[in-house]
Amino acid sequence: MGRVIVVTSGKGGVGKTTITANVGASLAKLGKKVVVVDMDIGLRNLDVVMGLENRVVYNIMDIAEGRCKINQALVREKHLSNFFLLPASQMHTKEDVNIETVYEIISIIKESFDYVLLDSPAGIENGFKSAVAPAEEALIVVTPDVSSVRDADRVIGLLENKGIEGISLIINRYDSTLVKKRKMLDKNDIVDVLGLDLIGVVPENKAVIDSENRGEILVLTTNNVATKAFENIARRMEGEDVPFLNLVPEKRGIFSIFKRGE
Amino acid sequence: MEQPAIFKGTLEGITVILNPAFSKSEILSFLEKTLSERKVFFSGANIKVKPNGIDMNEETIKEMESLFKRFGITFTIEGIGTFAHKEKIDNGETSSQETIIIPHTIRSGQIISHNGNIVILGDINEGGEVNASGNIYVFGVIRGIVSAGESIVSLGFTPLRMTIGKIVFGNESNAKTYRKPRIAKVEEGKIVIKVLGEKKSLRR
Repeated sequence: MGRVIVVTSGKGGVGKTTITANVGASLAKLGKKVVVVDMDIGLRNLDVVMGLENRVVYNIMDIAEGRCKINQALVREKHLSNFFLLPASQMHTKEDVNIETVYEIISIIKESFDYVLLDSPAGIENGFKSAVAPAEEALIVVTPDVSSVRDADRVIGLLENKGIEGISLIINRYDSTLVKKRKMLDKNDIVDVLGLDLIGVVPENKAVIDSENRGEILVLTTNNVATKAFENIARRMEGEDVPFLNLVPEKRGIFSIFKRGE
Repeated sequence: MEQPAIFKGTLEGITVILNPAFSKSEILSFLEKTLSERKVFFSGANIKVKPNGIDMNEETIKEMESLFKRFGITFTIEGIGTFAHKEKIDNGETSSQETIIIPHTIRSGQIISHNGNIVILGDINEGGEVNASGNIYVFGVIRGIVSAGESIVSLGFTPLRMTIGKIVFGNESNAKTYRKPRIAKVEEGKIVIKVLGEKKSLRR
């Protein structure tokens, strides 16, 4: 039976979808059977960043409303045979979602997978609630700014009330140069406020948006520092003790951008 | 002594010396009568009992315990131990404000309000709020909104807003986290933050 993990943040635009796709792909690269579920009903985009939009036939609302079976809606990723997507509907809104029905669907799906990653929408309303309901664990995504951290704190409080087992933190779009100039929150300060286990720091990297616009998952096509960060998250989720990358600020000129942490 | 028990006031508090010339039941009746007559005086008290030769067996201890419990009195039997009681007295008078303990950080969107004292085992995050009529004791730092009736103890004061009674904190001190707790209270119409247990220096 698989691990059901919701990827959520409160704040929008911090990288939940990017992280769901890339961490999901990284877990699949490790040999795990993974399905990523787009819970952003009405504003779906997980299929777009994975380049699968023209392969979508059915979506989660079709299952919920009885128009298809579960495996008819699952879309297999282009490169990996153990990596699947369950798309969201673009025709409905989050108010149309029945939380119990979603819960039941995910409960059935998790029997066939090692990992079920639920890409939560922003906010704390019905969409968020439906993404959280079936989840047993959570990944909180923040960017290093006060708004994001405040929203995450709210969300963590709600998840604690719900009784979620394990919650870990991913800091996305981290720019060490800006942190050093004190224009961006330091990761230690973020961890201090939120009081969560830090499971990953993903550096700001142009290649991420670039590959999304081309409909390609970064970790499957490019090998750079962001890829390494995503892969490390997957390895830590699997129990490996991986030291954090030493993300030193970029030096102009000849010297290399990063070196491995001790 | 002519009475089954004598009540003595000392620097440490009230001592009850039992008289072995009387029977246990006589002693207990006398204690009950005295405590009833002077209920208000004894409420919330911490009494030391000297058996003075009386055999304090399990049954006697139990009887004494239920007696003092009715009056909300914590007592120590010399040579045996202390029995603490926080129950209300029969006629409904409470001897102390109730203290609640919240065993986690107060997160954004959470509000705790209580008529009494509050202990927080964690921080009060920026979007959180804690209100108490008495004192607030925070095993962490305050980033959010706090209001107390008497004082606030914390390891760090960078509140969004802090009020004690009707006085609002003007945030004159630098935002810092301390290794040892500080206390915020009202002095001369302003909220000041001081080291807990600060002693007056001998400087002139």
